[in-house]
Amino acid sequence: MQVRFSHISLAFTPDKDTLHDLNFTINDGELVCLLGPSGGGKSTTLNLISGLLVPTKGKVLFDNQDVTKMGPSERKIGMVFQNYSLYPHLTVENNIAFPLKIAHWKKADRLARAAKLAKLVHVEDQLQKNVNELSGGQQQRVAIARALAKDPNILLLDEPLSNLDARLRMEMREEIRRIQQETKITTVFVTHDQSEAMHISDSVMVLHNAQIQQYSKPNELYDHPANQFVASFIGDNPLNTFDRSLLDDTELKEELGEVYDKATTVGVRAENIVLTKSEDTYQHGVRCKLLKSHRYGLISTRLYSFKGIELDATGLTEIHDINEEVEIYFQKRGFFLFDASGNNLFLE
Amino acid sequence: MTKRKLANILFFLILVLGALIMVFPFFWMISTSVKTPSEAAQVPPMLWPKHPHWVNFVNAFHAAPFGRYLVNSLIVTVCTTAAQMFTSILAAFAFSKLKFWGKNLIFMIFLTTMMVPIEMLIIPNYVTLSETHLMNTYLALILPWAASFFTVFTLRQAFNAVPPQVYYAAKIDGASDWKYLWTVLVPICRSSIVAMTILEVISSWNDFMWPMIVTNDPNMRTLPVAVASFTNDVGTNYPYMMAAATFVIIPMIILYVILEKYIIQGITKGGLVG
Amino acid sequence: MINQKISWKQTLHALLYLAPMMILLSIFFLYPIISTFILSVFKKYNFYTNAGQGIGFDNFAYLWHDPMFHQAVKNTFIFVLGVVPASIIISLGIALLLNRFSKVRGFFQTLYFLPYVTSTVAIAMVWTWIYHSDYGVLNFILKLFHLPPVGWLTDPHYTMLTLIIFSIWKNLGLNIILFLVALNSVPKQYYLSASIDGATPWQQFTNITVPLISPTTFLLTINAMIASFKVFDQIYVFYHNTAGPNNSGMTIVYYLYQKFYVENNYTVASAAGTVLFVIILLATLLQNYVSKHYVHY
Repeated sequence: MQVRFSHISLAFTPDKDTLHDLNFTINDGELVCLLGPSGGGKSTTLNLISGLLVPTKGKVLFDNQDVTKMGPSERKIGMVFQNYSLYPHLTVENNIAFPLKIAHWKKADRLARAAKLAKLVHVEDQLQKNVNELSGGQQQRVAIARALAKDPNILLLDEPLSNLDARLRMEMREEIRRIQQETKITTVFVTHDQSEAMHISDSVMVLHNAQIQQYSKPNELYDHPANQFVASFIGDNPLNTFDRSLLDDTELKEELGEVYDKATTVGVRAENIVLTKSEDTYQHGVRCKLLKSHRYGLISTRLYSFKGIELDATGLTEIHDINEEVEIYFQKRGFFLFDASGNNLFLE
Repeated sequence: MTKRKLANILFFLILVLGALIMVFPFFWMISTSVKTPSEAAQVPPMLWPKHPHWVNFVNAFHAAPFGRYLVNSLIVTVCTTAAQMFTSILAAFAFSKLKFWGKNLIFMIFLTTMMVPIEMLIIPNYVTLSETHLMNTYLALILPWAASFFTVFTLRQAFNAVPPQVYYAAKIDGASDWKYLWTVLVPICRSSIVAMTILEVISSWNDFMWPMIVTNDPNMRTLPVAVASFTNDVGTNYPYMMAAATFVIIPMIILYVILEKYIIQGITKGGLVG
Repeated sequence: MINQKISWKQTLHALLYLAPMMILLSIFFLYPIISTFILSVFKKYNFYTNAGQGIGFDNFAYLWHDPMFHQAVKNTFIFVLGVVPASIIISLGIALLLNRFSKVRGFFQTLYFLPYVTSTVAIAMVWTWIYHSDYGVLNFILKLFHLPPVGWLTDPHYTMLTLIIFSIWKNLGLNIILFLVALNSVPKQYYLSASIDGATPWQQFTNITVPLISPTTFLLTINAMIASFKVFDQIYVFYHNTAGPNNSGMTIVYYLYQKFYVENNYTVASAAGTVLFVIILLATLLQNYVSKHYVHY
């Protein structure tokens, strides 16, 4: 089912919008991640889709039907919470079947459906256990099965993996992807972990400061970030940023041309700093001094000093001495110019 | 080391002596129950009669209509407890999970009922029940205790401990408030509810002043009232009196021994409410 | 749902859940509170028409001048002073001992708690037999120690002592259990670090245990006070529906009962109820005040 937000605003207090004029469409059958730092409005957006929250302004549309005024139980959605929120007094089987019991399904029918869902999420051998006896990952599987019980139109997941340890988190995110692809259900997934979002989703919506920063395919976010916030939030390594004026007296300035004058800030990804120029790089480099170097396996992470500021560089393999001055080059795909309000000037 | 050992032995003896003092009246009650009146009056007292007269229990039971009193006590205890738990669960749910105007005001108003000595209320309640011609009825024994803000207060705390997401999950699963309360919240909080239920059973079973005041018809007496007036029926027959006391005490002791865990839990939760 | 404005519909919905409790408590608790205050200031009251006449403080003046009420107030305070401190100290001692022997703790705890779950009336009946002047076990024990027999239930000088001993025995279990909870919630590291610092067991008790369980001690003290102010059942049983020889066991609640149920003097009884209410209210306020200012949580 397609989900559309039209001019949605939400304010918990009259003077401050938690979400401001949101407009987006989630296509049928897609898995979309809502990504951003905490307090950015991603869980709020999810709760607006679920109907647990009601917008102050605007409309929520499911397949062009206005559902803004509907309560959560009327929207035919399934939801999984961060703390699983299973019913602690019920067995796995009865947890999965609970929504069907409420909907007055016959006992045999609902147990059959519960068994089928348990198979889908791979907990079919745990059906008679009490949910407290399960591991975190298993509990989360049960929560997903329960959310799918009523064959909902949309599956909502609110930080479903953040209570799990790192290894389990990787495993479960693949599982969620698999389950989503098997069921073809429109899925909205909230997370603050960018690598989780990048790996799992068809599209990612980055939310920050009550607004959508960017809504696009995962690689698009990395390759063509809309603004400085997205550029620094996405990616495993930090984004180096410095004032444009530092490049004023370099030849690199000439190479960048007109767009350079509009820029106020320069951003370079740590993995896009190299020591030799090529077709991928700008032809003019800048002179730097190596301050620190730390090797881990093949990759070394280094800290260069450039006109009093420090630049992180990763992925360099050529070895040279501390305090030695070298010319470094910036690969074009990881080099950005931002204007005063943070917009990526290369996108215009 | 030896000093420590000596101290430990001394402390243990104090504990045992204390426990004997706590238990002795119960033992003495049973022991006297199975003596003849002359054995009971013997000096020095005999710890246990050579030929225990267990038949005293049967005779005492028939010396007054104890069957009737037992039924009265059972009816009053069961109905009072059931009604109080029902009204308290509903109210605690509203205070814990629902949103409505005047929530704090209503809460504060009824909170004052926890501070008022019940003894002060018997006069107006007596008048109310006389005017509605409910004296000497089960309703008179049950209604005034069919709601308790103390129980509401304690259950509300238990309900508050259930995360709100469980409520939201149930809402998304399509459960109404009523369904959520009885199929999710109450089962989750069952140990608190059981604890409060048992405490109410005990206090209702043992209640004396109110049942005495609203029942001048001997047929409506509950067990404690019956035992207190039993002296008038049997004079100084102490074995019979001890047997009658046993009728009141034994059911609660059995309940206590079986459900001690819940009683202790209820006491520690409720007792520290303040 | 989470952020929805409160509506009339929701309020009505909630009131349906609250209605049974609100109706019952209004009839049997709120209305009587007000009604007692009103009754206590009526000069005359007719039970059959439930109508009062004349407003004034005559009933309180009556209490002020009634030697029986003086006796009741005096006895009530003697009772509270006799029961509460002793009960707190004994139960703390027993709780400490129980903690020392953790293996048998459960068993002893069960025994010490037995009196608390039993009917006051029924077990008081048993104690009348133990207290009996001629055949009672207590006087027999005194005799073993070559002490003269005591008229526990007949000598007015012993009435309060008789009531106090019974009441401490009856309610000890409750305090022991709550003290045990408090003692076990003191973090063990405190004792470990104190013993590393060389503190003796007594120093540990006075410097760690006492201050850390002080909230419980205080709460138990107030609760025991409030309960003791309301003593009635055992007096009724011990003295066969009288307030003891020469009214030596007259307490405020017994006075209220006497005026109301025996003498049918509803207005004076209500005034006595109001006095009881004020005393208990003061105790509650003291509890709130002290716990805010002095108790270390």
